[in-house]
Amino acid sequence: MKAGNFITIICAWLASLSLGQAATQLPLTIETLAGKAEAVVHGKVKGMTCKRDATGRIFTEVQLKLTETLKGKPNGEVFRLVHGGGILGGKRSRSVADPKFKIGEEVVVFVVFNSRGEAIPVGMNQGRFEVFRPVASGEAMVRNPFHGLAKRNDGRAVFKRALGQAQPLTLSELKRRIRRAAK
Amino acid sequence: MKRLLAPLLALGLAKAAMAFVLFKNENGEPLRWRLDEPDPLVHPNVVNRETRAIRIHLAKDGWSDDKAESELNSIRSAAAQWQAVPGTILKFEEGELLEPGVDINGEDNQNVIFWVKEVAPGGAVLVNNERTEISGALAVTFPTYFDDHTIVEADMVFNGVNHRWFTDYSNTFSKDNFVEAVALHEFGHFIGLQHSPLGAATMFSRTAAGVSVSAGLTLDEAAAAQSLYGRDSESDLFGAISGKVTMSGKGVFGAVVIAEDEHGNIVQSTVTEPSGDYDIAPIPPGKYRMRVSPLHSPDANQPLVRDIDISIEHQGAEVNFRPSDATDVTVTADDTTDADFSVRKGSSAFYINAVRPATTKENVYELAFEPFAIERTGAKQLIGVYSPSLPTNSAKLRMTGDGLTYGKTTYDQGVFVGFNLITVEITVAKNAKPGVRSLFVEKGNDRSYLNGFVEITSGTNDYDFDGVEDAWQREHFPIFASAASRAEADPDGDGYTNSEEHAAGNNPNDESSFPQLEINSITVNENGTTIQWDSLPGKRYQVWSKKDVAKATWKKVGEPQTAYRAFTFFTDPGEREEIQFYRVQALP
Repeated sequence: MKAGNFITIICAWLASLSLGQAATQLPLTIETLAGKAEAVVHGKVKGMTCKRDATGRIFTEVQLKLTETLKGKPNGEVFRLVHGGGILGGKRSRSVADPKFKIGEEVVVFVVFNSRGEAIPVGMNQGRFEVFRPVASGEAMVRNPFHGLAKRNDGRAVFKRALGQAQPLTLSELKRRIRRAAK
Repeated sequence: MKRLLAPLLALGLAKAAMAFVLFKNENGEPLRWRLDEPDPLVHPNVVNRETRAIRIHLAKDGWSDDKAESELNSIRSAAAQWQAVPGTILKFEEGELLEPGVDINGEDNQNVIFWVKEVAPGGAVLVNNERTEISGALAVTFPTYFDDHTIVEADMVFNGVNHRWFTDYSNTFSKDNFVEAVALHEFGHFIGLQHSPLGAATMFSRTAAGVSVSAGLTLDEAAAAQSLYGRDSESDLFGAISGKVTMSGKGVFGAVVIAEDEHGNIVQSTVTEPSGDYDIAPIPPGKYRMRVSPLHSPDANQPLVRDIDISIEHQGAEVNFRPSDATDVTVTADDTTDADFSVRKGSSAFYINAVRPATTKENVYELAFEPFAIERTGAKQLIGVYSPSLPTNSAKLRMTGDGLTYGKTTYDQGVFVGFNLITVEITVAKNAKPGVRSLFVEKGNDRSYLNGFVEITSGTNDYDFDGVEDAWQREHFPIFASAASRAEADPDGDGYTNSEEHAAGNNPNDESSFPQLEINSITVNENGTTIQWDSLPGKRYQVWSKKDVAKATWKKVGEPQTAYRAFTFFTDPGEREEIQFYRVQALP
């Protein structure tokens, strides 16, 4: 390390980090997701229904068996959210960034409510976290395309993860960060 | 020299990488528009059945108040670049501009492209009848399609709430989002493509803000367009490579298959299907060096290319195998060459998860996660790679291909704590073939690749594949890849094509600006009368003559002459003594 060049080096590094971004998607931090979300729910996908609305658009309603509400006021046994797209008859409508749900899977979903009161995932697939339990530990972990896996826009996280210093994201850590951001 | 530029551009300037992944259904049918035989169930406002063009409608308000027209033109430029891919039937046409307030709707028989600019209470950015929230996206394309993966219609939205946009290609300082590059990527999805495994490809899952190496369509995506929309009449000019990647007898899902040309430039690549099968097609006849490698190392905490960077369907791709050795493959026209690969389980002892882009400054240590460009300077530069696992001695860092010479290799452990850095001095010859190449580190029997993360640039671009330098077209036309700007067009009607006006440095939109024709000398001797004028190579000229400048009519002398140099001689053998008047006409 050449001490005299320290400032140049750090500036170059920070500049390069700021360039990293998805061509179409930019990662939202968990804090940003939690801040934008009007509700955050944890539950199991119980059913899905594909429908056509009055304008002809295809959309999908996902029913979650609610385990816990991490933000907002949803209560009751079943929570319904909707997202654009789906498969109806011989037609499919889907963008690469649409969230995908599977019956029986456990998820945490960040949602906002539209003017009709329907719950919509924040940031498309960014607002959906899959909950999984590795056989080895049995501990509940979470992930989506930008968290719980490698991510790039957070310089410190990139560094930590590249060095193996960051742990995969646990459900309990996700909950802690959501609650802290929601305060 | 400038006159020689145009023909050379066609051969040498476009990026040479090809890499594409199609979105197929369970029957193997790729997502695409049916332009060869329009589906009667697809509305004619979506695909024009007469012109067989995809109709697009832009919202007239663009993103900004004062530069909306430039923003719309950037989108048009992106569409035009796809349309310019040689040998395809891909075609766009524009319908009427739409009033502000457009929304995503996959059932309205209208392909719309717009910026969403309204924010809901709480900051949500809602589209698609308020059922899709796009605050984490720059832009999103929404295709609607049948089971057979025929696209019925598609809409594209740019996020004008959370992100800033600009349109000037020459603005190398802006870190806003370059409309043309993002639109180019989105049009890739619009016509059916998924993300590419190569760093420098337009369809790579991420890019840098501003004008970066991802601006401009690569031959990578050109091959994809040819694959989906190639003209039947030209299909027998190409060949194909087909095969399977296996490990212990089982197909390997998600392996990167690379075909490089003799110079080490990536000509085409793809990612294997769940069965391990792959196809590389269409590919020009020739010899290729092929190899297979994993998307990333199973040991990497921060891989540069992940399985989900290709698509969500690629989650779970096999990465725990060693790169294959290279194999030479010969492709012949209208034929498929088989090339199977067997790979071994396990991983290299090291991997790469960041790069040190090319620099001449020994004491500047940039750490980047994006592909970088390197110029053909013929002088020493430095490139490097980082990761916690890289060897600290005896390893080699190399770029694929020729035209490169290497100097000293250095190993640093303290530049960024926890990262090992390998740097090598490299000289890229001035005649090195431009294109996209890979980096690799090797030590003993271990080798780790970073596919397509370096682009050797030539300094000029031809992203619309017409042989005319883009910078000149951008200077003279609002849509640099439009029909009016193309090499063969003559928008000012002065008889000179854009290619000719470009070669002569004229204004293609001013009929009074054209290559000046002046007879430089007239020589009379026993062979006749010889005249000489400045000419444009390839241009045709007709010589005329008459005896009385005031009365007689001009008569053609001989057949049209095609110029082969910057000057042309023509001898009128029939005239040696009488006074004659000559004129030279440049033919359209």
